[in-house]
Amino acid sequence: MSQDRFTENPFYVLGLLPECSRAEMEREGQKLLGMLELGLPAAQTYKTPLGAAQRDSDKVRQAMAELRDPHKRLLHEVWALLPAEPLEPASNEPASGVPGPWPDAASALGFGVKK
Amino acid sequence: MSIGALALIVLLLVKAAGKDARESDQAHLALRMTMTILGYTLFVWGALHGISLLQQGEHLGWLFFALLPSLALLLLLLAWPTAVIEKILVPKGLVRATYYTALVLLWHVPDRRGQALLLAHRALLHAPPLCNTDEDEAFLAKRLALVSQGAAALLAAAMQLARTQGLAQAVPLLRCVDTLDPKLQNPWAMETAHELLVVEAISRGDWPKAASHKAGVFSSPLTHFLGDCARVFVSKPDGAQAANLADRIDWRTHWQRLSAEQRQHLQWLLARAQNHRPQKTGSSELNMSERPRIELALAALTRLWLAPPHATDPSRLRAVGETWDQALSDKALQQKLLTRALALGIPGAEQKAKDTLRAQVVATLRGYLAQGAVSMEKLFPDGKMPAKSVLLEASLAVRAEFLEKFEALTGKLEERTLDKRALPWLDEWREWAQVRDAYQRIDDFGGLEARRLAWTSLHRQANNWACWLWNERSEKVLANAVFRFLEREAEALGDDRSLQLARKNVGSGL
Repeated sequence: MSQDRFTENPFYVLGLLPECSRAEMEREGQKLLGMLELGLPAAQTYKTPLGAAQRDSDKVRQAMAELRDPHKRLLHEVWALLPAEPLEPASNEPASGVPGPWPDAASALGFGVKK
Repeated sequence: MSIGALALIVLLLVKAAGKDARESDQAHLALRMTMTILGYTLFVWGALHGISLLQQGEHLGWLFFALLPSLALLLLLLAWPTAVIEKILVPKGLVRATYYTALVLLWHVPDRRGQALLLAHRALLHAPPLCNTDEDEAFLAKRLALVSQGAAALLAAAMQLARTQGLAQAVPLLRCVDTLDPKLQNPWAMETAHELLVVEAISRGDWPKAASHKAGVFSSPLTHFLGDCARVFVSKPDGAQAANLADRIDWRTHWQRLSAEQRQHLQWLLARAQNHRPQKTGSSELNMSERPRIELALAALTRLWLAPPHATDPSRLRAVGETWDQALSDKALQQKLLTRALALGIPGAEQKAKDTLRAQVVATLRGYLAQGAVSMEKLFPDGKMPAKSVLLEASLAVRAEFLEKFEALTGKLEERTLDKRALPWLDEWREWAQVRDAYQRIDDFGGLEARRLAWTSLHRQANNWACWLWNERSEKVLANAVFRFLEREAEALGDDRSLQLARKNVGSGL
C-alpha cells in the first residue's frame, strides 16, 4: 500500500526526529526492543501522520537496519518531515457530507452472510 | 360432476395462459391475474355454496368447504410463487426446502432450475450465523453444475462467490449478465444482479458509481432508492436544479416500495439524503503557506488517505501533483538534501536522493490512482497534460499497468483457444468476467483513448475464443454473450468492420 511510505517510516516506528544521531537511534531501538520483549503496552503502538500503527520487534529491527544505511536514511528523513501526529483536514477543505463506505451494506440488505 | 367440469376449465385456462406466459411478460402478468381472480372466486363461491348446502342439510357442503378452498389456495400459490418462497422459506434459511419448493412452484418459468438455485442461495445467506452450512453449500454446488446457463444460473454462481470470497469478487461475473441473450435474461434475476452491483459500489463508498449505474428496465425499488440517494450525494451546487435535487425526489413513494427489512436498514440513509445539501468545493490549497514547500507537499499527499478515495475531488489531486512538482524543483529541498548528505557522510548523494525521492512520489501517487477512483479524463479535463509532472507520470504508469494486465488475460485466452484447452462452463464464464473486468478498469481510468488501445487485442482474441466456443464446444450462450459485447464495443468505438462481423455472429442466435 502506498501509504506505507508514511506509516512504516523508520523514524515514526522508532519515535525519533529526522535529525537524531546514529547513537540515539541505536539506543531508542534497543529500548523499544526491551519494552516489546516485556510486553509493555506503551511500546506496542506508535504515532504517524495517518494515525496510530502497531509496533512489533520485527518492525523495530527493520527500521534500525534502514537507518544504518545513510543513503536510505537520507530519503526517510524527507518522508518523516511531518510531525508524528495525526494530520487534521485542512481548514478550508469543506466536509463533503457524502457518506463513506458502508461495509455492512450487503449483509444488511440481504445479500451477504448475516452478522 | 360440476366440480370436475370446473376443475377441467381451470386447468385448460391455466395451460393456455401458461403457454402464452412463456412468450411475453405481459401474458405472464395476465396469467397471474387470471389465477388470482379464479383463486379468490373459487374460495368465496366454495365457502358460500358449502354453507348454503350445510344449511339445507346436504353433507356435500363439507366437500365444498375442504376441496374448493384448497384448490383456490393452490392457484394463489401458483400465481405468486416467489412471494411465498421469499416471505416464508428464504428468511428462515431453509435451503433445500426453498430449492425444491421453487422447482415445483416455478413450473412455468423457462429457467426454473436457475431461479430455484438463486432463491436457495439467498436462503443460505439467511442461515443463522453459527449454523454449519457445509452440507447446504455442497448441495448447491452440485445443483449449479447441472443447471443450464442463463442470468439466474450466473447470478447463483456470483452469489456463491460473494458468500465465500466477498461481494467484490462477484462483481465481474455480475456485470456479464448484461450481454446475455434477452431470452435468458430472467427479469427477477436481472433485477437482483443490478441490486447487487449498486450495493457493492455503496459498500466501497463509491457513490458516483452507484449514481451512474443504469439498471434500465431491470431497476427495482431498491436500485431506484439507492440510485437517487447516490445522485443526491454526488450532485454539485453549481446549477439551481442540482441544488434542490433532494427536495425534488419523491422519497415517500420510494420508501413505500421498499420491503420492511430494507426500510429497517436504510432509515439512516434516507435521513442523510433528505437533509443533504451540496457544498461548494473550496480551494484545495493547504493552509500551511508559511511552511517549507516539501512539508506542504507531504501534508497534501498524506491528506489523500484521510478521506475515502471515491470522495476525492480531481482538482485536489491535481493540486497535490502541482505541490510536489514545485517542492521537487525547490532550491530549499536541494539545500536540505545537500546539508544532510554531508552530515551523514555521503557527499554528492543529494542528486541521486532527489531522483529517488521523485520516483518514490510517483510510485506513491501511482498506488493511490491504481484504486481507480479518479479517471484520467477528470485529472486532465481539457486534454492538456503537463510536460513533466509527477501526476502525469503516475497516471501513465497506472494506465500502462492496467493495459499490461489486460493483455496478459487476453493472451491467456488466445493460448487456450490455440491449444483447445476447454474449461467447465462456469470457469469459462469466470475467465470472460475477468477479461471484461480488466477492460472496464481501463475504460474507467483511461477513458476512450485507453479503450481504443485495448480494443484491438480484445476483439481478435475474444472473437477467436468465442468462435471456438460456438463451433466446437457448443457453448452457445457464452459465445453469444461475447459476440454481443463485441458488437456493443465495436459500435461505441466506431469500428465498422468489426461491427459487421459481430452482428453476423450475434445473428447466429443460440
